[in-house]
Amino acid sequence: MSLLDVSQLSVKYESFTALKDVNFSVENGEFLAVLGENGSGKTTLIKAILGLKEPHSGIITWEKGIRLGYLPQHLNVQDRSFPATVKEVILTGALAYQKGFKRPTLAMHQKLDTLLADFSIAHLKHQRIGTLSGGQQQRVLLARTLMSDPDILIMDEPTSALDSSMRSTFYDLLKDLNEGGMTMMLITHDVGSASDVLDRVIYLDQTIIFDGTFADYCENAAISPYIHTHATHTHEVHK
Amino acid sequence: MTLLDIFSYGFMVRALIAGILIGLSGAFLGSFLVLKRFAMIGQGLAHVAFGAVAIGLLLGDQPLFIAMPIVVVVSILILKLSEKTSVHGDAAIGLAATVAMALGTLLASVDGGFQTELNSYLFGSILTVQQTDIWLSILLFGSVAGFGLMYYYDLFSMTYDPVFAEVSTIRVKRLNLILAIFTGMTVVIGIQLLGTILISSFIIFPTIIAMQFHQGFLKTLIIALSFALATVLAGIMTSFVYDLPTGSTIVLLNALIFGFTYSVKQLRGGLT
Repeated sequence: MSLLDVSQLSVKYESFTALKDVNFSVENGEFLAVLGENGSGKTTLIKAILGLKEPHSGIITWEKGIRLGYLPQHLNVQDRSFPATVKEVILTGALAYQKGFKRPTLAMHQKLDTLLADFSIAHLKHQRIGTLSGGQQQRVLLARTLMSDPDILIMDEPTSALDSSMRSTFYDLLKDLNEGGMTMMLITHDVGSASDVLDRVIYLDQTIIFDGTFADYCENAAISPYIHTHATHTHEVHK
Repeated sequence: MTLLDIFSYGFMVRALIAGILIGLSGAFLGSFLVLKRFAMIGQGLAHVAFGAVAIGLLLGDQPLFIAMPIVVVVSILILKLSEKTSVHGDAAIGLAATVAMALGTLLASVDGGFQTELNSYLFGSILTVQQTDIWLSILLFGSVAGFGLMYYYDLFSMTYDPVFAEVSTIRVKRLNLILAIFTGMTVVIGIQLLGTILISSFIIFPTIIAMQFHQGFLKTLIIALSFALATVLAGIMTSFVYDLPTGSTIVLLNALIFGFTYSVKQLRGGLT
């Protein structure tokens, strides 16, 4: 059985159809990118598979007992005065799944320190998250997600706040996690920096226009004007 | 008169106990409500309580027991309305508050017999705190403290990032519902002391004062609880010694502290 099965998914906002008849599966260990222009339904697809938006029709089936990791585009909290330290934020990733009376364990603290060291943000442990740069905040959010040992990491434009050198470091990190067995689902409108790590590409424009390997995606540029534009851009980035 | 004389008056002891327990409950709930930008629910529910007390006075001599379920139900309705994208939270609070105030005023003018008593609920009085209010305050504080200890991390997670919390299987809507119910209870039990006009200060002030200290969430919560305790104690005692209205004294004390901490923060770029 697949990790995720999406069958005949349609999502509407009142009379506007954001997604129509979307069908795909995600297999264990894949590194998948969902591409598409702004307004193509990428964010709606994420909301639907995360259970944040009720589908109009269709079925979304997760493998039983699966643990989801979600990395948002940026902090949902834009208020820089929010009183929360890096440590407090990262610990919520593990505590969310703790049963019963929730308290941080020694193992959680050890994992927190390891992740902080891995992401070169150990010196920020007790700082308020609102004082961090965009890149540092993104690493904190990734650390929060990884605290729960997710089976799949779903990312919504995760590199939008990062500069080009930080993007490539970020994707190297994701590649390592993927090689360690974690399934990756990346939603982006710019595949450039991620092209080296992708197994598969889905191109979305309300429905799925392309679903295949990254090489096929580039080769089949003539299928659609959208893909042509995107693939050309990708090749340019590659050079 | 010395401060110790205060404890020889039964009504002062009752006011202190009720004030501390309600103040701590309000500060705890306020830490989440203020940061969720939903703090005005306290003010809105206080207005709802005014209308609910009017219904209570119309029906009998224990208006708070009738007001309690009404305010709790309205707090749930406000939450449900604000979850709909077509009615924002502040609009939902405004709707409920104005309808309740209109209803309260209308009932008082039609019946006429309880106008004076209804007006006494606008500003509250330490003289009116009864033994029943003490028991209600203990029940409220016990419930809020138990809820807080059990769900502290989930409450923090959903306040900081509700989308991540929901994806992480935290029952965000259920926790919001419990927060709204406890806020309704705090408002109703607190209006005896502070009145419907001032009760929301118990929810808002401690957190915004604590936020001036630039700390993490747990420390901010502890600072908020400490200031709630200190201002209730100082406010009740000051109002007794100088014969001032208790609610106003507590609110103005909070305002002074906020003004001071805010100014220091601006001057020093953070207290720590």
